[in-house]
Amino acid sequence: MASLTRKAVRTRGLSYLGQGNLITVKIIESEEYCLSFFAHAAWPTMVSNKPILEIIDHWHLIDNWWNDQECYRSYFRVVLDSGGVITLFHDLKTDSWFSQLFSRFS
Amino acid sequence: MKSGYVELHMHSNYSLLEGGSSIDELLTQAKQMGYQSMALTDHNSLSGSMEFAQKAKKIGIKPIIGLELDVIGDPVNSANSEATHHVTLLAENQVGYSNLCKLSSAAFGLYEPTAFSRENKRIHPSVSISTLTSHTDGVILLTGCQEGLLNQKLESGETKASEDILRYWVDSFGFSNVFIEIQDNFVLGDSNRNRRLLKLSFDTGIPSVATGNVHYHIPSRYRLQDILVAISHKVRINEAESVRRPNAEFYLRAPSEQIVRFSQYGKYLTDNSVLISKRCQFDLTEDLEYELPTPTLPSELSAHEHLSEICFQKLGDRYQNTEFLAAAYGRLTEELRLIDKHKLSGFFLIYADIFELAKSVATEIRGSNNRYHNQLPIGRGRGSSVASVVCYLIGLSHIDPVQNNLFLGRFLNEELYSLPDIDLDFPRDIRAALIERIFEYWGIEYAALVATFSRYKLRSAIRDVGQALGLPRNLLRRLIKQSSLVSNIDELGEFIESSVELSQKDKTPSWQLLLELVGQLVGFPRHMSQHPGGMVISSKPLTNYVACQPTAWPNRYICQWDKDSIEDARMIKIDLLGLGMLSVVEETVDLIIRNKDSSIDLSRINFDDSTVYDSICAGDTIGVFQIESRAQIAMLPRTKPRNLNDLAIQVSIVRPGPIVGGAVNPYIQRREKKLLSPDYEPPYAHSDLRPVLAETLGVVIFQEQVIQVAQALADFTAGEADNFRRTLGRKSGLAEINDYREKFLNAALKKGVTSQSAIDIFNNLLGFAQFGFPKSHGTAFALLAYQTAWLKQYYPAEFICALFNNQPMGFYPPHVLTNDAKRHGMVINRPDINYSSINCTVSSRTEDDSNTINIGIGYVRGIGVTLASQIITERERAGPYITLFQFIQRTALPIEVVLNLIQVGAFDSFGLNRRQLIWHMGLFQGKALSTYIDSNGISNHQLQLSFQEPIADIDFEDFNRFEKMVTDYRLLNLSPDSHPMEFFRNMQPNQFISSCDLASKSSTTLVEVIGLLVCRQRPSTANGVVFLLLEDEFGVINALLRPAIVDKYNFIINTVVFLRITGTLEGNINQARTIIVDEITPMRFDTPSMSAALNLRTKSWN
Repeated sequence: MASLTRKAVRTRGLSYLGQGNLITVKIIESEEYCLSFFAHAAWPTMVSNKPILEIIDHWHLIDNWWNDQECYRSYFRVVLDSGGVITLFHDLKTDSWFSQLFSRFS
Repeated sequence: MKSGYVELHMHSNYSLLEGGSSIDELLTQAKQMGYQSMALTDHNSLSGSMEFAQKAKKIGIKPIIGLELDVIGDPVNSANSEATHHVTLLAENQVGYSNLCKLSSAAFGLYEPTAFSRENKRIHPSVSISTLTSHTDGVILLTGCQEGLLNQKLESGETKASEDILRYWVDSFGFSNVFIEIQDNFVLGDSNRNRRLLKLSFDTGIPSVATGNVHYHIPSRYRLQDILVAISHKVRINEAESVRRPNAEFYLRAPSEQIVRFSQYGKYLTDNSVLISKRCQFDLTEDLEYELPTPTLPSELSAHEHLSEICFQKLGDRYQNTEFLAAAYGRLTEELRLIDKHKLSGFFLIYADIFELAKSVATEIRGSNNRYHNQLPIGRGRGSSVASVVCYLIGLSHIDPVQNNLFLGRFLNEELYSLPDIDLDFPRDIRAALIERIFEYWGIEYAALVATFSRYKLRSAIRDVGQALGLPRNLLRRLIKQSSLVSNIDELGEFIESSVELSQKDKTPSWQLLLELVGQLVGFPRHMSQHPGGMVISSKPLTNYVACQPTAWPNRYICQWDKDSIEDARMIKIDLLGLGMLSVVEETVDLIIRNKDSSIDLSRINFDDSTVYDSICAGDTIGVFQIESRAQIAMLPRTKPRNLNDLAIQVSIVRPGPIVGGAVNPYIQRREKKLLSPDYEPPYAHSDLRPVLAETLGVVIFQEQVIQVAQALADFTAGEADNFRRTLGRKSGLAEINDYREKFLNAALKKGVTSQSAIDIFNNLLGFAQFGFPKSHGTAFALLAYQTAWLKQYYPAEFICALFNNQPMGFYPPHVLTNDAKRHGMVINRPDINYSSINCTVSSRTEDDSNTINIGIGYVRGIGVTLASQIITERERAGPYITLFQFIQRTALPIEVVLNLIQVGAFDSFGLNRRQLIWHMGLFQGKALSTYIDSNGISNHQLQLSFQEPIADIDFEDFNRFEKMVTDYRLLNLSPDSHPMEFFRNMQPNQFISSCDLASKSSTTLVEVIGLLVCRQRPSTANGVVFLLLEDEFGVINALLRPAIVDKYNFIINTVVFLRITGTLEGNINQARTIIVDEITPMRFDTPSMSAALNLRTKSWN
């Protein structure tokens, strides 16, 4: 049998597969940011008409690809110009954007 | 460098059950993307390193050898001594590579002092901090992925500790050899972590480098990688959340992509990958500097002088006063010249040393006074080395290559692109002891077994992927059974579509995913195990060249490379093989000596005995080495081998090489013509082929004929032709083969061969991409085949008895051997508690049973050698057993053991039937034992009866013949008295033809037969045809199922043991007959449980 050379990877961030709240997001398309499996070019610039000041983190999530609840999400943690910090994700299956309350999985 | 980025952190599928792509896939993708260099850094293992280096160089990518290592310990916090983390290591030079080998070896427990700690490491490989920092020369350290200690410290907010870690690495490896590893795979936390790492890099001045943490070659492979991780953790995919990667971003990105991605952090990150690559100049394909161990030499002689002296002396002994002296002298002179040219004298002397070791091992095991010891060779050479007169003279081979006109060029030639291969067969017990003796003699650091990788096939892939996906087990089982009848994933998909049960499923995502993932997984390595016989030895520690590790078998050590990598490294691989038939032959000769008081020298029997060849030509070869298979039995009556040369061809022709090369049918047809008309001349595409192929009637059957045809028809040199032959056998040789094809066809055309003939001949040679035998190997095996046929003819009881005692081996289970033995007039006695030995014997209880085999007590299921030995020791001590009670009292065996012995009739001589004995046994069951000392001062056990004595005398009807037969099959895997078909034939509604009736039926007759399925064969070379071998109470029946019939009846073929077959008879009267099947159904039984009661399984061969 193969030896288990890896322990459980921490901070998977898979615990937050909630539905989220549908939001309106303005995006730009940029080739620079489609260098990934998703190969999409959607990059948020405004959330519910509030400008995004900075994107402080960006990650991708794939889950349940083996059943009909498959989930392909592109997450952004952003700072709004109002100073607020929110997490939003682009659901690539429905091409909709959602905000989500998120606490870091550890 | 043009690309501006080098991937320095990449896993192949040699990161077992973790890497999602093969080396070929990764390199092909890398080449398309424009990579100029890249590193392979599998987990703890360097198994893929040589394959990677060879293949990368061939396509113009500079390979860098690396390792991702599991480390235990925290150098800056002793309280955290159990911390586990990863580092990425790269070999800068030969010393660095050697250190990686030693680290990998240490990780898998090579240097552990106890068996317990070795086994622990083998399963959970890792090194300590101190071990890591003791092997830093020539090694570049990258601080690792998210699992690296540096990242762990940062994650937990220990900024000071993270700086201390970095300082520690720098102190250990040197400032210029440490790089902070930056990865960005779109994982939550990557950005934040990278910012902090870059700040650390800025603050400390330690440079950073970008890596991709690659686990597969294209994004869509993330699914397979997830499944592999689930399989390795033995969970379903939906339970593997904590160990799966969160997305599909761990693929091999193009250099341009990486440059863009990491530009947000700074261009120097990717530039540093190029700088590191330029520093790593070690070339595994050329810089290994392996040295052969030094053989035992008289001080005043060189290796070549010593070898020459031995050989010329033996030449006189073997060939003086024979007609072959001059030819042998010339041959020896030529071989010694080639050996000296290639500096291989020490190589041959090493083998001679090993053979001497084997002799001393055999003496210890067999005893020096054993009467047959000096007559039987300890071991036998096989393969191309049998063609060498040097091997013959120093005792490595028992076949005279001069007398047998064996071609040397396959083994030794002027160019010699690879080291010669010498394979030695030994009886199993001698081989096992010899391997351990070699470790003792050379030392565990200087000798190791060669690895082999068990790879996923359809069956295992379906099972593991299906379980990981959580698919229903009953449907998976159905699919797994079907997989033995298909050859690829497309056929499996067709089966699912056509299956009533599964066709509803094939459109669902899970089943579609199953097919997709299984198709990707087939061929992946699953785990590493020992090569059947290969060992490597060296003069310097092997871990200078290849990582080694303990095996699960005690006192055995294995290197991490398989035979192809060993060959690429030009290391000497010694093949010590355990051949079960050698054990059988030894035991047969021993039985003959004991029972007949007659000593047999198998090297001096009549090799032209027509009686023996008559049996062979009749296909009466069950149990005979190499010619007992269903295919051989069908072929022998047509090819009619009548001498050892014919047998060498016969042994060699039923191989994938000649089959795929289209040699079989032409040879059979030409042979039949030759037998009818001795003047028959087969056709040749060119007259130059006649001397090469006359022996095999114009078709290529032997491996060296590939070489000889290439030389004769296309003017290849000997070395070029041998390299061509080797390339045919390599899966990765497609481009090279096309080059050879062009050269071959052009040269053949110039000689006047027609275009079509040249293409046909080349395609014939291509067949040897599959496995084929050199003639020397066929000759060696033919000799053993004849010797076993001779033993079966003249000493059948001893031969069959030895076969019983050396199971499992051969083509057939014991019950088939038993029925064949009974058809040849032998009597099989069931185990008897007062007469049987541990093993099967041939012994006389009456004057008339010279052909009687007594099944041993150890043969009974649940008994084994230890308990059987206990029974016999007690019998020898205190005399025969008189009653069951006394037996139980004297032996104190578990009641289940006693029950099994009763059921196989071991106590039949006590005068009670078996049911009565079982009843009596029950009276004793479970009672407390008390001990008492008898008059001889021996401790005995006394059982207490719980019932009054009158109940002990109840009458019972014995088991009937059918019940006894069922029990025999269950507990002995054979029945001395009955065949199932004796009972089942009468249950059938119709009369059926038996196997003996078939012989007199004419060809094309429609026949209907019934029988027990004993063998199911689906050769990969047979284009979907399945061969079955059935047995009834009279003999065996061959059946052939064309693909359409296989599709129609696949479930029955795979699951039913007793079959009814309707079809057309093929083959002439007095030849082996085959039924071409039209219909196949289960036999009818009085009760459904009857066939299941026998619990028989059919052997399947692919």
